[in-house]
Amino acid sequence: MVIRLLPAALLMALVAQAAEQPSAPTATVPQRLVSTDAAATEILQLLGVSERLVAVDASSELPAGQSLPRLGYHRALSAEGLISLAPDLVIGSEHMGPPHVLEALARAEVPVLKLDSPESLPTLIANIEAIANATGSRGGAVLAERLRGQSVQLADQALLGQKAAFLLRAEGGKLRLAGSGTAGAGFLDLLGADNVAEHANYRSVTPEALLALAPDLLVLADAENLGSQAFIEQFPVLRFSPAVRDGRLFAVDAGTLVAGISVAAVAEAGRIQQAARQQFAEQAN
Amino acid sequence: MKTLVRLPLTTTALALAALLVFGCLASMSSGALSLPLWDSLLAVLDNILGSSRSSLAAHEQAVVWELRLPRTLLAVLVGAMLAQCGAAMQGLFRNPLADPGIIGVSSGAAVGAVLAIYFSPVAASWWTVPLSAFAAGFACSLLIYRLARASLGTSVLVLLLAGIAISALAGSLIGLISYVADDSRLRDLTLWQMGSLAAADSTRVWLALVVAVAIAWRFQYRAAALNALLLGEAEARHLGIHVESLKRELILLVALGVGLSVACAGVIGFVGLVVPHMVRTLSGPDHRSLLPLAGLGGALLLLLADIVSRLVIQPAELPVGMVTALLGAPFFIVLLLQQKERG
Repeated sequence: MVIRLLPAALLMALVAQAAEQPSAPTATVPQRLVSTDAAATEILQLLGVSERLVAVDASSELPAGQSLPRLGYHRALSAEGLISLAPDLVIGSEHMGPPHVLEALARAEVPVLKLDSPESLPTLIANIEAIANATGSRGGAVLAERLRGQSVQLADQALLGQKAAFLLRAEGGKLRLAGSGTAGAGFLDLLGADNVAEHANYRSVTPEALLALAPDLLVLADAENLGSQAFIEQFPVLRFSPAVRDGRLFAVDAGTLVAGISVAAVAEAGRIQQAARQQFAEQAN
Repeated sequence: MKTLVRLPLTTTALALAALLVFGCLASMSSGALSLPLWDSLLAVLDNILGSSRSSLAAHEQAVVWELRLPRTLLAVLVGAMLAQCGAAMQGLFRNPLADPGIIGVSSGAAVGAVLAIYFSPVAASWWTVPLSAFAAGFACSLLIYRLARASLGTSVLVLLLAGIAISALAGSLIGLISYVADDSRLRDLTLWQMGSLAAADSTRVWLALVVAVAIAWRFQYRAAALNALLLGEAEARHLGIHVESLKRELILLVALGVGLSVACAGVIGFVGLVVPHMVRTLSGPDHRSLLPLAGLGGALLLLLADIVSRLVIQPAELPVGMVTALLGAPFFIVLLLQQKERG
């Protein structure tokens, strides 16, 4: 959690500085925001406009102390529930629905901002800019610029040609391997490594299958953040996989990847990329 | 069953009808937006007559006319269909534990819906899911009927067992698809199986109206035959009833009614099981009164459940199938205990 909050706090400071500049005329700025997507809620917080939120979906995380009505699951929203909040702007992902609710919002003339799921850094940056534009917050440009810088650095240090696997530790200690179209695969893209998985979505894998895939780098995410040591104790056979044997097993805070690639996940990618490069370099010597 | 106090028929019918009217008014005036009842009713009138008597804002009128009204009507129609189908199945099987799902409509429809959710593109799912649910539900009950039919007539026992077997098969197919589905589709599958009236629109309401009226009329026409069937199949045959064609017609009607309900609103449990029971304790087992009263009772129960589902966790809402089960199951247990005491 500390790792995740630190860059966020830095950004908040930067954004707050930017926000002190004279802002756009308030008449056109929406004052009652609804977010139906965890990623959008997070961006609103980073932009410093989360106090304008009037309701969020079930998956959104709010800062301690802020408590808002919950809209439930973002694919099963209630039309009347949304309209009753009298929002100036509803922000959600492409999955927001069901369609008849969006039609009802359109007829009630509630503006809706639909964003792509941030499975890559360019989409994340585009989403930040879209939200900053729609909410009239000036911090968007600072944040986007900073992420572009990180993007250049990640590309520069890319772990080219390295076979990597992203594992999600699910309920009951089962392992799920991230395939294409997942936030996990997006995270491996940030590192510049090749995903060993050839399927789409998350799929269950056995430790034996992982040994057969023989990734050079393992990224592990679990909801409880137990860390890599607990992982090896649970699946001791994986000590024979090249990644674990050579110390390239890295734990990432699963909370940063719940709703696609988040700003905090980009920082995590930078940290893991540096640590992995160091290990590869030591091994080469 | 020593001393069973039953209310006069007209009293029961009038009370249920009055409660249903009251329920409709409550449904039209409750929701996340607080709108005055009178203005809401005027808004409905305005939309029909093209007048402008209501003082509601345009978006509030839209909430009443496009969200609450279709939803209220669909709850009434689906509730009535489910309860009538339940009463008919309990009569056909001569078993109070029969519910409309017994001939495999619900489980078949669930497989159809789950297949459509998994295979069809998300953009088309608003029509592929109901259509596929209806088709699979109907096909499934026909299959069960064919399995049970023999040269000497259809055995109710085989019908029951075939229903259980096909439902088990359907359950495993749903499990298989759930296993391979991605997270968002998995969530859709689960939600669909809990039922919801939120997607009510004019198409669904008209379809439900036509089917509800048609099956209510046919059931009523067959009510006397169902009464005779209570004595036993052989006895009914001696009374001059063509038992085989009665069975076939009842199964087709239930497949139609439940299939359409499931297609419009997903799986909604307990209405078809509990309501005929409650009505039977109030007004007796005569199908000529049981069927229409069960229709009223089912409409009322589903309407109330839907109001609860809209209000408890607003601005979000609970799936209505969960509410009917949560309300219906304890009620059913109380009913069983009371009947046990009466001995």
